[in-house]
Amino acid sequence: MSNLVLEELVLSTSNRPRLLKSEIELCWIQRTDLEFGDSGGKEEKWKDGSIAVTSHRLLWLKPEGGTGSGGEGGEVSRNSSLPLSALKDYKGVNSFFKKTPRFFLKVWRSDSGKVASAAEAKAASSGKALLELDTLSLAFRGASGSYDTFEKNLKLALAREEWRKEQMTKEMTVGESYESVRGRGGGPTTQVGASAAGIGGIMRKQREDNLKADKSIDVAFKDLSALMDKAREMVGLSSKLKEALQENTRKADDTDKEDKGIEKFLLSLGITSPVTKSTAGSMFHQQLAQQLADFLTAPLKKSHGAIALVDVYCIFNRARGIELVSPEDLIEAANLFPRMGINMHLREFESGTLAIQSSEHSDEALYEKLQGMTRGPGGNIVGIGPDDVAAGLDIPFILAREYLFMAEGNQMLCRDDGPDGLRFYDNFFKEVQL
Amino acid sequence: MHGLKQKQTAKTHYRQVGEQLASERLATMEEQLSKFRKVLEDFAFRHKEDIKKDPIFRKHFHEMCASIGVDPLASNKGMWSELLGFGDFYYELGVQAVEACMAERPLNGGLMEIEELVVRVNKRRGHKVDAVSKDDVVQAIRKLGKLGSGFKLLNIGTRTVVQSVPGELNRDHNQVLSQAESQGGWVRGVDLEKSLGFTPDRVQQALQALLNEGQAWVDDGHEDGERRYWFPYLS
Repeated sequence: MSNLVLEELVLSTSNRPRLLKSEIELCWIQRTDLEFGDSGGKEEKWKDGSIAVTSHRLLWLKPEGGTGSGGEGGEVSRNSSLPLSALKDYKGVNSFFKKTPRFFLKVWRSDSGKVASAAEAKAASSGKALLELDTLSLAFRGASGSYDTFEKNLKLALAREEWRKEQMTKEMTVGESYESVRGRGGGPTTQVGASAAGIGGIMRKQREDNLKADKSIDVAFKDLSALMDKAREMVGLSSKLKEALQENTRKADDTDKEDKGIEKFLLSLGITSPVTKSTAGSMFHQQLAQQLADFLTAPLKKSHGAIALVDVYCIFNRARGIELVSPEDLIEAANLFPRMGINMHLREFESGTLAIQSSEHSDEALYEKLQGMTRGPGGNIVGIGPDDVAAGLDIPFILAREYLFMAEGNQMLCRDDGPDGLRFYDNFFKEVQL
Repeated sequence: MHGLKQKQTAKTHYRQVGEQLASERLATMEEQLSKFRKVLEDFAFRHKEDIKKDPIFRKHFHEMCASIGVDPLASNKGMWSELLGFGDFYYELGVQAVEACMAERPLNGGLMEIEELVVRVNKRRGHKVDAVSKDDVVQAIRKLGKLGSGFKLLNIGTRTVVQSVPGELNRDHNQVLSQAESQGGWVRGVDLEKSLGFTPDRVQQALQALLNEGQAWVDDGHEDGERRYWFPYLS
């Protein structure tokens, strides 16, 4: 019998798992082993990784640096994922007498070992298809609360069945009428060719629909638990309301332009699964750094490779929604960039300004560019000032000036304060051996 | 002939009914949207901690806020003081203040009077929460000090102006210099207001920075009474 083959987990450039479109991380647990097969881990074992429960999957990250391989076969572990839809059953063993708490997962798989798709698993569990069942065990060797945290979040994810709801969203009842509003609202004359009774019908239907939507808002927002039950429905209603009204305002004149701008701002930058202290635990700053780096890639490109840390604080928190990151945590995460091999860094300028820069703007890269500028086309020596650097590197003037001073401080350039103002030249003395 | 006329009348009638239908729908939707906004603001305000506890629900809640345009970070000073101290209140306000400044930057180059900022921040926070005062916003900006000195309060005469773009990342100076270069190495404040569309504050801020950096010299001796700024290496 072949082994269970988990799906590959793809990582971002900062090595954070790439999540599905609306997937949310619920918890991360370190120092977890995966054991394949029924024989208590003798077949294949992947050691000492981190496991996450998300709204859709289990994610397993192999230990940093190591291969995490184990068992007799010496198989190499991979970053992997397991869709929760393929889970038939699970059992936890956390007895006082056993040292390592474990979870045993029963997973639907095909003959070749491939994990079953949601549809296949559904068919199999109702006896309509023939699939094999395999066991995957998780052994928690880390912090003492690991087992409980895992169980709590697995239960939550299984109860919510977010993966299933995605297929169902199209069957919305509330707000259904808005589709037809948009269909007809645009050209009132074209569609009204039906009988008077038909129009009366439409009008009645419209009023009923409105009443229904009204009522469902009332019910859903009665209290928090009611809203939790109706959350999906309300998300649907809210986005339909917005769409319909946007359509309308697009036609009308643009009053209150600014407020629309806010909405756009909030929407365009959304982080679906913000890294939080409660989900990431002790991996918080590391994961936050990865999320921040992934998030900043596009904005950094747009702003010539540098963004003030204050701006980062604003846009990053806006994208995270309700999960505010404090300035201290933001700085701590940004300070981790170089150690984690992320090609960005936190720079402090002379004036005390802090900014995130992409590493193309590292000191070494910079000095090289500046020295290149002190050579004319024929290799002749040229003096450069902040204006030349600003134009040449396409950077702000004050920054250009600061870079020149930095280069001087590091003995890459030397100054000449002449009638043309302050100019800088290549420092030949640095190559002179005494 | 008669039939044609009748058809025409009927058509007009249908159109009127159709238009009435559409406008009625629009009105209800707007009503529902404002109702939705109200309850959502209320929930964001009252149940923030509970919402955070359930990540899946949190996502749905966030989606609703984004669609309807509700700020999920609007809380009152009093709520926090009991539980966690003032910390988070000012941190949230900081996000709102920076956002308000960023939105206006294309127009003012990152300089805004504190009073105007307070008005804009309150507009963003919605109606459910208490309006914040000037002192609150000042306090929030001070708290952002940990994130570097790029965002700060300047005193210009008797006014307090918030500067949200640090000098190192400000491209106004580049524009001033290229304007001066095109005029033969000097420039007047009014030239910049006209050609670059800068506010007087923005012009003064840029020129002052260039003076401080030793890049410009002042010439007050011209007969039109307008101060000229000379850039020796551009002339």
